[in-house]
Amino acid sequence: MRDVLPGLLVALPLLGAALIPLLAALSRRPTRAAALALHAAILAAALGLFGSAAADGPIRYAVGGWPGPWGIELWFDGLSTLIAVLVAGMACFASFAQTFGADRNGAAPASTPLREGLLRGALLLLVGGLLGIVATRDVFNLFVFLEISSLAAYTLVASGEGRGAVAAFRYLLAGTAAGSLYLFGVGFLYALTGTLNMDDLAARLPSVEADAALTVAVVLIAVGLSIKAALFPLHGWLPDTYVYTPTPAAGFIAAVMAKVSAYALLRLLGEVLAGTEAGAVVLEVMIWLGVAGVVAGGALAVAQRAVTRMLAWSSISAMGMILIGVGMGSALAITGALFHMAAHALAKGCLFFGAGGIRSFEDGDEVGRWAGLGSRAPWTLAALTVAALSMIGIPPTAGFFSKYYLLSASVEAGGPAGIAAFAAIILSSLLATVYFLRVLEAAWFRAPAEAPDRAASAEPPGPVLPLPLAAPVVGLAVLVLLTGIFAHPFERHVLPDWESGAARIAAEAP
Amino acid sequence: MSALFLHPAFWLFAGVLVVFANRRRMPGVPVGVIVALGALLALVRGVEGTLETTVAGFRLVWFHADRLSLLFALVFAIVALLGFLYGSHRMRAGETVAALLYAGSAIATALAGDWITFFVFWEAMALSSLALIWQGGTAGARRAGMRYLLVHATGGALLFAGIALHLAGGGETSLGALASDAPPFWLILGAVAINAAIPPLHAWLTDAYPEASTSGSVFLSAFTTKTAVYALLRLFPGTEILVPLGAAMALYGVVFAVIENDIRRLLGYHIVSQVGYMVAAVGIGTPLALNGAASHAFSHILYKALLFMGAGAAIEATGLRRLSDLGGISRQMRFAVAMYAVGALSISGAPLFNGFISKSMIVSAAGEEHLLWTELLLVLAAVGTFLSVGLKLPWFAFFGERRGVAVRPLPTNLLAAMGIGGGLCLLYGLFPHLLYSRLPYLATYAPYTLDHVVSTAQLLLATGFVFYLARKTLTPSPGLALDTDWLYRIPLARAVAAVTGALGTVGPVVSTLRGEAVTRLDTAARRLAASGALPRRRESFAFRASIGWTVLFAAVAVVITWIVVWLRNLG
Repeated sequence: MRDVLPGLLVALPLLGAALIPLLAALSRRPTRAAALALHAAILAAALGLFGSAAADGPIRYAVGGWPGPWGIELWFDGLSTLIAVLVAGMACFASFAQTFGADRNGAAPASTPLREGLLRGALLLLVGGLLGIVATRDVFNLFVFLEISSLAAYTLVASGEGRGAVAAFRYLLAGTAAGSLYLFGVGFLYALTGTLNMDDLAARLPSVEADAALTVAVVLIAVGLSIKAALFPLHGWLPDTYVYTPTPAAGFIAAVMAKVSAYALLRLLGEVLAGTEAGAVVLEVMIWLGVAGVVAGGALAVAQRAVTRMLAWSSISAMGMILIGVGMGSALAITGALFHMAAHALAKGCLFFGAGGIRSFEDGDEVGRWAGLGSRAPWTLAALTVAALSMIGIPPTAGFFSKYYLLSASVEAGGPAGIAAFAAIILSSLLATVYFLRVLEAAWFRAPAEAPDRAASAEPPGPVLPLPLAAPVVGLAVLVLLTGIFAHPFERHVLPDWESGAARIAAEAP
Repeated sequence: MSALFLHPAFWLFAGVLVVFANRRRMPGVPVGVIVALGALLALVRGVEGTLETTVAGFRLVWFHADRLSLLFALVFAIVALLGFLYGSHRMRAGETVAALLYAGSAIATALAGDWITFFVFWEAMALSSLALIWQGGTAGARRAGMRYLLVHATGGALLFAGIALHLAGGGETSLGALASDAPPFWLILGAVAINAAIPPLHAWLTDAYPEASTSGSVFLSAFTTKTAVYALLRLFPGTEILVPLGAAMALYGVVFAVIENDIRRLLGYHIVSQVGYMVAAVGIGTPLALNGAASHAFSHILYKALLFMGAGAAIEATGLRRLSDLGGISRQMRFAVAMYAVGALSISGAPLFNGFISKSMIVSAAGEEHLLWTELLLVLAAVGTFLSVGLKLPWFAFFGERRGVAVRPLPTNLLAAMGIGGGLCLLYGLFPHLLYSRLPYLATYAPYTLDHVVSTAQLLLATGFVFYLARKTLTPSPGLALDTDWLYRIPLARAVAAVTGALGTVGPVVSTLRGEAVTRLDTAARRLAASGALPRRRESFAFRASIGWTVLFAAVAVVITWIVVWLRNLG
């Protein structure tokens, strides 16, 4: 198991990305089944690794049998396997949602089998890239996977109708700039230390003189990854990207894309570069930018009238919260950040599948369009309500516990940054209450007749969401609840793994 | 698993699922009545004990029954049963679900043994009561619900912050009195004060309760404020600041009630006033005072639900809700008026009714501690209470001149609920030991002494005489008496609109400015190079601007970090 699964986890999606479009050119139905089966297999591999890492300790896997620091290593501990499970799991839902084709007006985003196959291939490529980022222990290899995932994401975003292409191009510019900055940073690091392996880097960095070159390296890596993680004020690409991406991909991209970059930030800044002075400064700044992002994202979400755009701004707020945790760097804060990644990914994926579907099927994104949906599709709306409550942080949903960890970490950290983080997280709950309950009120308590021009049409209203979207919405809402209730992994595996990792690095430092 | 069935709230939550699954086929109310009965039976036995599980690494004590929590849970279950019976002719599935959740959360809050569970159900109560208000279905209910939400979301945030600080600071996980020198104390007290409707944080109550449906306001009158009283008893016994707050609150509510015209808003002000008695009693903090607060909460829930039922009956029968529109309808609804009178005499503290046995306990406790001003204010408030609820409201709503208001006959279930409510008020008034034997603290009290009875009777008779003389000046006038909710109805609403409006324009303005800057640079560069053929569309500027922004940010970040590192090395 431990010898095979690591390779499979990264190889399966990349292989599938090549094969699925070929299969699609032949026939549509088996393609869907094959893609789903592939995603399920990837999830199984991720779960197997998670269980194995939890039971027998972290797994170090040398790609091609070349051991580090010369070869590329993959590293699976509680943290990375957790994110891998999250990515693979969300991908299953997204793949299921990709079966959703035509909207009510007959416009078909994925009309031809080949087009659908290509989009499925792009999703698999994206999954492969993200899993690679999560797993790799090599900073240059991380760049490669970053670019793979980015390219796949641009394709998926650009496949949207209307302004999708423009949004994708904007995302491409931001993403390319981010990748370049990261690569520059890696270049400097390589020049300074002569190694690309993270463990090796961590071991050699203490003996490197702290000069301008090291500062430049650390800051460029931090800025590059922060752009991808949508750290305020580098979030500019996010709202348009999330809003204009077609729904199945939006549910996936909004759920995990930025979080994987935040995870990379955690690995590099929190673990490898934490010992450097520049790294410490960057992490401190990150807390403050996170605080600003939490407040600004929440406030702008309140100001939005379109539901998907509101969700996008709320993501900026959530990313701020995660990066506050990364910046604080204590075991409690990291647990909170990872927990919030999971909680937010599940809830935001659910909401984007739902809101995107409602946008397609109800011909509009305004809050008023949600009027009366509660009586037409009570189970779907109940699921979306659960996700919204998790975003607000109402127990026993996952969102409450993650915020609770982050609040505890803020108290533990103390000082002005701790107080600001504490206040910002509380404030974000308050703002989220306002902007989510506005939508829920329309859905549950307003009569559908109040939505303009629907009463005029003679046709009886159909189901609000087709099965390929409704099933992920309901499934994710159940997971939001279960994650809240059975959150032991965060305490049992993630926390000790992080602490031992931090202790190892501290021990290697002179 | 059998332990689960012991928990009374379980019955109500299970009822939610049943109603939700059968929302089209059957009205939810039979389920409501049945599960409320189940909850009641689970409570009447009064089993004390503790049940807990560990969830997400937190030890959750979701059933912690001692005498205090059982007393509140019992009365919550009684009033839930009455509410479902009262509304069973008109409650739809949505309202039933909201009411089941609301009643269940209130019971579960009273039975919560640790902070997290307490917070869970406290929040569930806020959300489900909001749903109940929105079920009023009018535009007024929707707007009032939004204002209600703002206030309670703030309260929830305060409570969350307080609990997180308390636990992170190594505080006890189980509920208990808080040390008064720390921030958690004040944060949690603020949250509880909002729910207890302590002025100036009370306006949500009188704003929202009249907007709910007739059955909805019966539920609303019972749970939120009394759960707050429970929380005060549990967490803040003997907090001195509560004494003046409570006494002022008792009088404040009455003053507004005397001038109010909307019948349910008038009763809402009496919730504020009556909860004032309990808040003051919690502040006094002697065992007698705490028993007084608990027993007054118990009595209050019964007679206040009865009063709201009476007001609802008038609204059901006529469709009117203002004193200035009603009048002369008592002949067509004699039983409902009689039961309303029982409630009115109870809230006024007349002997033989249940308000007497609990209110006099609080006043006596204030007297024992020589809190002269408090005692005086509470007695004054009692006079105002009788004046407005006991005389003014029935006089102008039920009796008085006939205005030719059409009166529909009232359904039996509604009258039955009122009959049971009135019967309970009398039962506890006549046999006080039924209540006293359940009180949590060690203190003996005898309500029916000659002194108590005579002084109360004198007070009520004198008030009646004053009303007779002054009834002309008390004639209600239509119009809205704005209270502290003016603060968030007008200035805060405008400020929020302004801020969100400004935020909405920041993005476009910034990108316009950036576009502007890039355009200028662009034209300048092109003039220099004298070669054109670049795309002119606005997007291209935005694109270039976004790259420029990124590079600029990176450069600035590098410089700043370098300076900081350099400065640190200097120092």
